[in-house]
Amino acid sequence: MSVTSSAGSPAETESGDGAVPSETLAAPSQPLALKSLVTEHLDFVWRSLRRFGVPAADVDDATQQVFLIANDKLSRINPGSERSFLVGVATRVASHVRRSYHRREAAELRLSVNPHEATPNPEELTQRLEARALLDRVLDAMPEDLRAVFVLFELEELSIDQTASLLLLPRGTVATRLRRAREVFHEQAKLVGAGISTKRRPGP
Amino acid sequence: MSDPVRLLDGGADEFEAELLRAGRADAVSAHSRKQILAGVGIGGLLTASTMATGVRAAAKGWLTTLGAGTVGAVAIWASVHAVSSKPAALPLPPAAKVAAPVQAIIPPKPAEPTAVNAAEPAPAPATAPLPLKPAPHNATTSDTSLTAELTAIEQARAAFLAHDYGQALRSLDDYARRFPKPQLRSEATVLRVESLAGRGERETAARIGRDFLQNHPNGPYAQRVRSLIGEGSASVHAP
Repeated sequence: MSVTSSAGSPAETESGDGAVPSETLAAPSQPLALKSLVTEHLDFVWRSLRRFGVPAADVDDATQQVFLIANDKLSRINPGSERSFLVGVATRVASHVRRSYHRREAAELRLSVNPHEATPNPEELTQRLEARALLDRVLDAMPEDLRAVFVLFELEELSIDQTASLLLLPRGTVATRLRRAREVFHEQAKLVGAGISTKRRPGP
Repeated sequence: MSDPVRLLDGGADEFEAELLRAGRADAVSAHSRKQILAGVGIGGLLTASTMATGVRAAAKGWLTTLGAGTVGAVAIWASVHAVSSKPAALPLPPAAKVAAPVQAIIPPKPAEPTAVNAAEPAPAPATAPLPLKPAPHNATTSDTSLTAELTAIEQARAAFLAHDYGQALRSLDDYARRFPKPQLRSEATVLRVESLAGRGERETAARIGRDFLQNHPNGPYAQRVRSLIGEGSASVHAP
C-alpha cells in the first residue's frame, strides 16, 4: 500500500488538516476527482471505519458519509494528502457513529454482520465472526487516539512513518501510542478471553 | 529507526493472534461496494429506478438510527438532494431521468478534520435540523413523489432532533395530508411514536405503537417500536 506523505507542506502547516485554502487552488474537475478518490480509497476507508468501531451494519453508510464530506472539501484537499484527510474524517465519523450507536442501546447489533459479506463455510464463519466481535470489544476499550494508531499499524499493516503521516503526528508520538495501545490490547484480550474461558475460544 | 515487530509476527498469543487475523480479514463486499458507489453518485448505474431504490434504502437505514441522528441522516439527506436539485455533474446514462449530481450530494458539514492531530477526538458532528427545501406538492412520477415524501419526513425528523416534538407532529400531519397513499407509512409512524413519546404523550404513543406492531410484528422497525413502548406494556420510554 502506498501512502503519500504530506507532512511539512506549507499549507498543512497552516491548516493542519491536509487542506489548503480554496483560493490557492484552481478549481479541479470535481466529479473526476471524487471518482478517483473513491476508486482509490474506498477499501481503505471502509476497513478503517470498521476497525475504528463502526458496527458492521453501518459501515456502508459511514463510508458514503466520509466520501460525501470529502466531496464537499475536494478543492481544499491538498494533493498528496487525500488519504490523510480521509483518515481524519473517518475517525470523526466513526466516533460519532459509535456515540450514536451507544445511545441507541442496540448492543445486539454489535455482533451483527454484513449479510452480503462473502461467506466461508459455516464453522469458519462462526469462528471468524466470534473472533471479530471479540476484537471489537477489545478495540472498544481503547481510547480513540490509541485505537487509530493500533488499527493502522497492526491491522492495516502500515509502517510507523506511514501511520504518522496519515495521522499528522510525529513518529515518536505514534510509537508511544502504539506501545500504550498494545498494553491495552493485551489487557483487554486477557479480560475478554477470561470472560469466554468457559466457552469455546475462537481459533484452532 | 526500524519499526517494532507487528503483534501477529510475534508478541501475540494464539488468542490475540486470532482476534487480529479476524480484524485483518475485514474487506468490502461487492454488494457494499456497489451500494457505496451508487450512494456517492458514481456508480454509473443510476437509473431512475435504482435511485429510487437507493433512496428507499437510505430511508430504511436512516430510520434504524432514528432518535440518534447518525450516518443514515446524511445518506437520506444526500439522497433527497440527489434526486431533487441541480443538474447532473457526472456523465450518466440517458435513462437517468433523476440523476445524482455530485455537487448536490454535499452534507451540511457534519464532520471534517480540523486539528493538527487528525486522530484527536473532536466534537460530534451536528445532528441539528438539516436545511431542506420544501418538496413540491404536485409530484407526479413515483420517484419525485418518493423524493417529496422523503423530504417531508426529513423535515419532521429535523424537528424531532431539535426536540421540537410539536413541530415534528405537525409535519407528520402535513405529510399524512399530502400523501394519502404514502410509500413511507411505516417510517412516518415510527417517527410519530418517537415524537409523541418525546412530548410525553405516552398513552397515545403506546396505542399507535401497538397498532403498528400488530400490522408489522416482524418488520424492520418492530424492535425499535417495542423498545419505545416497552415490550408489550403501555409504558413509553422517552427518546
